[in-house]
Amino acid sequence: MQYFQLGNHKIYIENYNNDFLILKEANSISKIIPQLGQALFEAKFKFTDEVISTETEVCLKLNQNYSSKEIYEIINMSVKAFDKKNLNKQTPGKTYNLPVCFESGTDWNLIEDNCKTTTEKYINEILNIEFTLAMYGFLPGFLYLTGLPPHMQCKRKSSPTKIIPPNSLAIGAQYLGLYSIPSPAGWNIIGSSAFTVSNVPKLPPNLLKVGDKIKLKRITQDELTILQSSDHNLISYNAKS
Amino acid sequence: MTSIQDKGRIGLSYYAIPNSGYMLPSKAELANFLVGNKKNDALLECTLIPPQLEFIDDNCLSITGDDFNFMVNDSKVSRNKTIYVKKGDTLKGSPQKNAHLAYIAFQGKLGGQKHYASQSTYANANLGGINGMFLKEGDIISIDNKNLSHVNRKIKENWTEVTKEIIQFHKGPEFKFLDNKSLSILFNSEYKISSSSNRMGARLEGSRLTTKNYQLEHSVPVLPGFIQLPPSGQPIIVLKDGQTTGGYPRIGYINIQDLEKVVGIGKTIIFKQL
Repeated sequence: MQYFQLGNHKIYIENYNNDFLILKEANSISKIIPQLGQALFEAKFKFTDEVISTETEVCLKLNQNYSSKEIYEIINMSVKAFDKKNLNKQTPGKTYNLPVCFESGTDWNLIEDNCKTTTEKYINEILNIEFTLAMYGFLPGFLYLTGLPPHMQCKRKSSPTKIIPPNSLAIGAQYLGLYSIPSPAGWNIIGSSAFTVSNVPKLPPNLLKVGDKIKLKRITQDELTILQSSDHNLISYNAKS
Repeated sequence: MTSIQDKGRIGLSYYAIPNSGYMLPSKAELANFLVGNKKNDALLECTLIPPQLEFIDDNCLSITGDDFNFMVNDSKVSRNKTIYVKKGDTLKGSPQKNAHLAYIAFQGKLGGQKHYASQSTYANANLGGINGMFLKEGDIISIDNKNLSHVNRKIKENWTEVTKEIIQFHKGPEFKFLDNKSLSILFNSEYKISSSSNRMGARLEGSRLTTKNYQLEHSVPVLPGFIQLPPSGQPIIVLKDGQTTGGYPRIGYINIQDLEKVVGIGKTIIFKQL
């Protein structure tokens, strides 16, 4: 299998019949894969139709412009991004406060059972975590946030909820997830955000970038109603505070 | 159900915005050809329950795909040819056994919203279509056909009902998860397209495939054509409105050109490996 080196990271390239490529680091979750995915997406190669980036893999969907020599362009671009942005040093993103009402969480009983804790204790702990936007995926406007310590992780529900309201916050295994649009949900719903992070149908479709940091801020049901009907959005709210 | 579709949105999967677009490119492009449009123009895609349309103006249209017994006023109209209708006429189809998908193209530009350079309806995020939705009773669709040119085209289709499709299977990233018994099942048995299939995915029904693990540790990239194996052991083929990431093993994929073959509830699928 082909591979290339970014500093001391060994990045493997799997080629599936020139239909798509998958780039990943051997056996590990790597902080540089999401940043590599971002760089390859922003490169807007003529020979790719889609770039999908997750925590562990970057997938490049190839088109008819692809030939085997393009692999060197991918490697060159990766090395350039690595040198410039210091992918390995994890460039700090912006930090945002996200006002969250935990009273609207519908699955606290599951969290309490699974994590052997109380709702109050869990909320106090989660307010002290700085989350990182690890990846987009699943549905437009959905965010995968990392930072949950193992004792706060909670398995997905055995049967998904049919439909949950937009801006729901949920725990699914090691992730804190934010649903921007109504959706069926297999994750444990713990609250609602006062603001959307979605920018659909504008570009870019998300207000936050991979690598950005998020801290939750507790608000009451009344404050949630006030913020939702205010002129504020996530960006103006954070400019103010 | 009827939606507006064109070729779809390219390049936004990074943001989890799926391609969308017409499910049967060959039929959609043919419909556009028959009215003199560009091949990727927006048109109506009808699924299972066809619409009833009333014309506010004279129009030139065409119908391709499955036979929903479309009538203009009270006379049956043929598919695969240019049709002219007058102001006040109605076009009406009805659900038919083995009719899954049909296209209605109108000469000119269809109205509605364009998002990210496409009119394709993706209702989950309210993109395209009429206000981001599938069509509903009472909707008015504008058609810009100021420069109506006279076309009269007809295609003879040797139509035979396809109930069984043989599809080339390619190994996916988690192909190795399948044990020998499952491999033998996969390439020697038939799968049926289940009625729970939709624009997101074709759900297959057949002998259960087993793997060592049905839930990957991490969510990984998924493209249209990928074959996922959920805990039911019944494969799902990701289609044009599909999720861009997922946690099920990706045991294989099919060519993008073969996506047309996995549309149609009840059809039989046989996987062949080169």
